[in-house]
This record gives sequence, structure tokens and C-alpha cells, in this order.
Amino acid sequence: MSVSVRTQRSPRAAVEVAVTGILVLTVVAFLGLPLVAIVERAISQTALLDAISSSDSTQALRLSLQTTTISLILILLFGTPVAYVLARARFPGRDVIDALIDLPIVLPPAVGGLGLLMAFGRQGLLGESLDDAGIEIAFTTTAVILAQTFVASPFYIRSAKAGFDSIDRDLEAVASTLGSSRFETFRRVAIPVAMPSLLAGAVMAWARALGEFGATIMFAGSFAGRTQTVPLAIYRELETGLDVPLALSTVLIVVSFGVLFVFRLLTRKAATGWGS
Amino acid sequence: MTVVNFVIRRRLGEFTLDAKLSSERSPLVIMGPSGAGKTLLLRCISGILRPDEGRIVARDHTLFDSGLGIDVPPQDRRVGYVPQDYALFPHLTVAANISYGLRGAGAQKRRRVDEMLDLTGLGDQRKSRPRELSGGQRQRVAVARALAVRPELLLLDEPFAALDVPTREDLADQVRELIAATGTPTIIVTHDRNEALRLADEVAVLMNGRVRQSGSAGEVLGGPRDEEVANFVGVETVVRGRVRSVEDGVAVVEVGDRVVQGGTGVEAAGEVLVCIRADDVVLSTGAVEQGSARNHLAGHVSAIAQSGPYRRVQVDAGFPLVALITKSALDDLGLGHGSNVVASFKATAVHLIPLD
Repeated sequence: MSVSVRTQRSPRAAVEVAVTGILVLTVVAFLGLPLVAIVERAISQTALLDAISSSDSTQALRLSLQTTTISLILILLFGTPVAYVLARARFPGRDVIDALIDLPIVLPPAVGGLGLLMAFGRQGLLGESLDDAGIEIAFTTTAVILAQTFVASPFYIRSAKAGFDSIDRDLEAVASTLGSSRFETFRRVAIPVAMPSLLAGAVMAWARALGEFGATIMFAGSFAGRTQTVPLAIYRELETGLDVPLALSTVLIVVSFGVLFVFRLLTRKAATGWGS
Repeated sequence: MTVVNFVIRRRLGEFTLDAKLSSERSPLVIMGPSGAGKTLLLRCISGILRPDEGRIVARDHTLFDSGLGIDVPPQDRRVGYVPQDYALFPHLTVAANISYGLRGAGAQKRRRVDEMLDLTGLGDQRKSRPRELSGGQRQRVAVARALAVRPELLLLDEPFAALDVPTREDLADQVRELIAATGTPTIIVTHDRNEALRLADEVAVLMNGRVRQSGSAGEVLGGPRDEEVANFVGVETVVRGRVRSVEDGVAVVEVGDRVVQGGTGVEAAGEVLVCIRADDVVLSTGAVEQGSARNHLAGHVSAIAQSGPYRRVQVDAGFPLVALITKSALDDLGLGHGSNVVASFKATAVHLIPLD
């Protein structure tokens, strides 16, 4: 195939441009229209601010903020070392663990929720022991956090592992010859060098936790103030009217869009790294 | 004092490093072609890789001994390692890179960092990030970072390979001074003969995972033990010959239908390899002046190739003989393909390796 510079487009090229344009517009419209529709309806409501500041809404927003923050902390605390070990250590069964960690990404969240219920619920595998210890998890705020952590952690671990994988191994080797123990190398070299990937993963995991619905409703139920996060509130409030669902949805759309935007900036940073 | 003394066996895939060396001089340059196992060797000495078996002693400290079950972890070996790509910490400034391995109070660390910046002339770059530095500056930061912690042994892996040729020679001198100034015993790995000559007190040739020869730079480069080492250390002419007689320590060698007088390497008649370095061969046209060179071979130019600033002229003088001359010498003599020339070299430039 030859490439030539043309001052005038041939009729065929014009058709190609038109078809491509139509395809792009169709996709953009299909993905964008529902969002625009929500925001448009929400704004045209005179009571948007009232709906956002209603006690049902603020309660759900506060709960979502609290639970996703704790979930994110858990994910970072446990996920970072796990991702590092997966990126560095060679041991039998590593591939199995790798696949297991990815599983919640493809599994329907409802299955995850059911699994959590079967494990930690009153009649679950650990139910009796937990009961004896006086610990109740299912249908509590703790259950919301576990559901979010279960569903969202793979997004973080994936990204963190990729970040650790891409570190020049000589950096860690040199750190060790300069007197660093493994943990010190992890803390002073691996984490800062992989930071863009860690942040990008954290952003994605947090956004996923914020939108969590299926696992939460199975494992934690939908109790206002205790387990009813924003997505659950949207679903529940639909019974009484559109005001609150539209307002909360608008909040989620704006926040999610902002988060994805930040994610793009961070992944670009991760791709360019710290410069060579 | 021993700089290093090791016996190392380490398999890596199909490759086996099986190296043995003891050296009391520094800098020790380990020369070898790529794939010889040079980096693997340094990684074993620094403790990054664990040998399958063997023993490593540096400055009279045993770092590894498979027999005694000793394996000092890299962070306790006090062996500095500068990999080929320098591996500077990209998220840290020059000063923070240098202070990475320092322990103790802040003021003390700062003083040491200042010392190293002074020594390397990097004072103006102290707040720069590695990506803002030139290749030569990065290299000096990496060496400074390794020296800051006062290692007992410093390992440099192809320290100049990533640099341009002019910078390379400057830096080689600077690094030599740095090493001397801090008195740090150093092992440098390279594939470059000129670097070895410039830096080495002692040279060891590593080929195919084995140390083939070691000694002073002059001994190894001027007296390679066998044909492979000769070819590698840059003796361009290696041909078979037969020693007819040895008179007053000077051998008379038949090479094809020519006769060469050679100085070093044999005491008795027999089959030999005749090694002649290209820089020792002088080319002339017309009458040869009276001089001290014992060998004058008439022949014709069979090939000319560029080699850095020089020209490698291959002369068919009954056997292929390579001379390294400047471009202007080539032009002044008006040499071209097929030109008749006389190749001259001193008997002392001929190194003989006995066969069998």
C-alpha cells in the first residue's frame, strides 16, 4: 500500500471519513446520552439541592465516603505487600493465587456477596466461631466494607503488581549493596518508584468500591444509615420518586468522571515513569 | 592484602560460570567478550546472586563459602556495585542518591555527601534528578553513591560502555583518580582493551565463564596465552609458524615462505602461533631506512578498513598481517588496494605461543 499526499480527497476517502464519523458519534451518543439525561433531569429539577441535602441523601453519601475510605485503607495495607510478593517471589501455586486475585473482576458481584454470606454469615463457614466470639458481620457496616474490599481490591493489586514488575531490578540490587534490608528496599525504593502505578490502582479501586452494589446488597442488605450506600439508596429511593435517585446519580457521575480523569493523568505518569 | 580471591560455580540456564582468581592488586580489570559471564561474576561477588558452590574472599573477609555454609547477605558485605546502566534512584535527587546508603546523624550524612560532591565535581547538580543529567554525570553519581558508604571493595560493570568515546577517556581518568583518592580496592569489568590498559593494575581475561589468564596489563595484552585470548585482547595478527632456531633468546620463525625474528615466548624449536599487534607494525613504500626493526616484509595491501580515528590496513606479506596507521599516513603513502608496501616491526613486538 502506498501513502501519498493529496490535496483533494477522493470520493472513496470521503465516504470512509463519513462512515467512521457516524460510528464514533453513535458510540459517543450511546455512552453519553444516559448520563446527559440524568444530569439534565437533575438540573431541571428545582429541588436538586434539596434532594442532595435531604437526610436520606446525606446519610447515604456519608456512609459511602466512610466505608470506601476504610475499604481503600484495607486494600492499600494488605494489597501493597501482596502485589510486591507476587511481582518478586517465585513459588509453586503463584499462578493460582494470581488468578484467584483477579477473579472478583470477572465474577458477578452478586456471587461475591453470596460467597461472603456463606463464609461470614450466621450460617456460614465461620459463622458459628464468629458468633461464639460475639462478632456479627453480615448486614452490618462491616459487611459493606468487606464487600467493597472484596470487589475492589483486584483493581489495586493488578496495577500495583504491574508497577512493581516494571521496576529495574538493578535499583533494588544496588539498594541492597548500599545496606538496605529487603523491607527497607521495599519502602525506600520499590514503593516510591512504583508510586504512579500505586496511585492509579488506588483511584480505580476506590471508584469501584464507591459504585459497589451487588455484593453489598447480598451481604449487607440495605438499611438506611448502616448499610445503605449511595448506589443502594438510589435503588431504594426509586420507590418514592425520582428526585433523590437523580441527585445522587449526578453526584456519582461527577465524582466518577473526575476520578477517571485523574486516573488518566496518573497512568500517563506511570507510563513515562520518572524519566530515564 | 587480598583484593579478591574466589572460586565460583554458578549455572544460569545453559551458561555456567566456573571462575577462579586471586588478586592482590587494584584496580583489577576483568576483560571478556559479551556473554563471558562478567556481570554474573560481579553479581555473585556483590551477593545479589548466590553461587551454586565456591568461596569468595574480599579483603580477607569470607563473604561466601558453600563448604562452611557462609553466605553474607549483600547489605552486610560492604561491597559497592555499580551496574552498567548505573541504576540511579529516579525519584531521588543527586544528593539523596549519594546519601542513600549513609547511616547516622543528618549533619554527618550531609558532610559526607558534600565530600563526595566535591570529589566528583557534581556540586552544581546536587538537586538535579537523574533524568536531568548527562551520561557522564550519571556515571559519577553512581560511583559517588557507591563510594560514599566506604565499601571495602567496589565493583564497576562496564562503567563507560554507555558513553561517547571522547567522554569515555576523560571519565576513565577521573574514575581512576576517584578510586585512588579513596583508596578503594576496585574490580572493573569491561570488553574494551583500551579501557583495560588505561585502568588496570592487573588484568584477568574471562571467556566462556572461565578465567583464562591473569597478570599485569602488559603481561596479558602483550603475551596472550593462547589464540583465543590473543584474538580477544586485540592482537590482530595471529598466524601459525615454526621456530627454526633460537639464538641469544631471539627466535627465527618460518611463517609460510617468510622468516620472522621474534623475541618472546619460546625457548626451543617447534610449532608456534606468531602474534603481532597492529599498532606495532610500521608501513613504508620504497627503500626501507636503516633502523632497529629486525623484520621487513614486502607485500601488498589487501584491505583497508576504518577503526576509530585510525585505518586498519591488511597486508598480504606471505601471510595476512594487520597494521594500524593514521588516515594522514595512509594518504601520504598514497596507499590503496593492491599497493606495494614493506611492513616492518621489531622482534620484541612478536609474541610466540608454543603449540602442543
